[in-house]
Amino acid sequence: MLHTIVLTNSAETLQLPDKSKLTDLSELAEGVIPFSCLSGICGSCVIEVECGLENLSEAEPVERTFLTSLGFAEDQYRLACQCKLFGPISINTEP
Amino acid sequence: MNRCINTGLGRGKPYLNPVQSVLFRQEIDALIENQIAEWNANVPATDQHHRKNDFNHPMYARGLAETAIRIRLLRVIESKAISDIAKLSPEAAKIWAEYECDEMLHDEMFIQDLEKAGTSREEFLQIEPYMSTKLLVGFFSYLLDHEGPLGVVAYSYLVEYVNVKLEPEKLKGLEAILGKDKIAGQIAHSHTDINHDHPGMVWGALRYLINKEEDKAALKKYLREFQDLLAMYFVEINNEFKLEKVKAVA
Repeated sequence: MLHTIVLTNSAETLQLPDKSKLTDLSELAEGVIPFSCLSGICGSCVIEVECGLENLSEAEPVERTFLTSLGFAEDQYRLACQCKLFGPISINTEP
Repeated sequence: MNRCINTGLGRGKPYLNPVQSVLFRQEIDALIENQIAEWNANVPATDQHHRKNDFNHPMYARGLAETAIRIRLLRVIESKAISDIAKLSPEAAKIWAEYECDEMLHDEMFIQDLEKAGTSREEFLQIEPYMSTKLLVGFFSYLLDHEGPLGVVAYSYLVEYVNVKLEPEKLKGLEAILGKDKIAGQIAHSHTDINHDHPGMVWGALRYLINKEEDKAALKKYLREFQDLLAMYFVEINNEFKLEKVKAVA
């Protein structure tokens, strides 16, 4: 099953299989999501989920704490490398 | 000229894109399902958890010991595999390292149950691995030296897939025979495999190690070879405890 990801800042629409990590988007469009550690500790891949937050795996407390320390305390901000995809979403990759 | 190679730096996108990866995984899962059916039909001594009336306790304990021994031996060679994997794909090495982090001390879970089954830690340390286990570990060494790390990772995919698929039913049977407290370590191990999606984790590493059609064919062949090696273990333990007449090995 494929899910649609709308990138609102670049007006692109991409698709990934169910349960994909959001950072897999970089395989479809190079550089679309900057990332480094893939462990949720560097903060390179902060995104803003504008629609479909419920279609991502839930944030662990450690992710929320780190995002808050980066100034992204609200629920709509996520680390792409910590998100598994379960449905359609719209995201801003340059919040 | 740059003589520095095997760094994993020149990598491009994975050979299998996200959709191709899902489709190939489905193909591999179907192949493993067929192997499971063959296994159940041909390999002896695999149904202990259904034998409430003639459960073989010594054989159960020996099986737990061998599982702990196998984990202890394989974690050494699987750790060596990380350096080989990193030369090919740092992405795969990262996933593999996380998987090994999860698995590294899992022998303890089986040893806890082994103690509850009446075998002390001192007695456990006196148990030598079966020949089939030694051959399995040796095969891993051969693979790393001469064929690459794909086979080593393939083994874990086979084991994790089968564990997640079959372990809950096996544990249910053992719980009915031994009681929940006696198998707490095995239950905890099963929870880890399922809750951390170990099959998905290992597939994530495998995907980065498949770089051509020949690798896909090799993966299928490895799964068959590992099934044959694991079946040898069941024949060996069955022969020691003379549980039933050995049928043909799968």
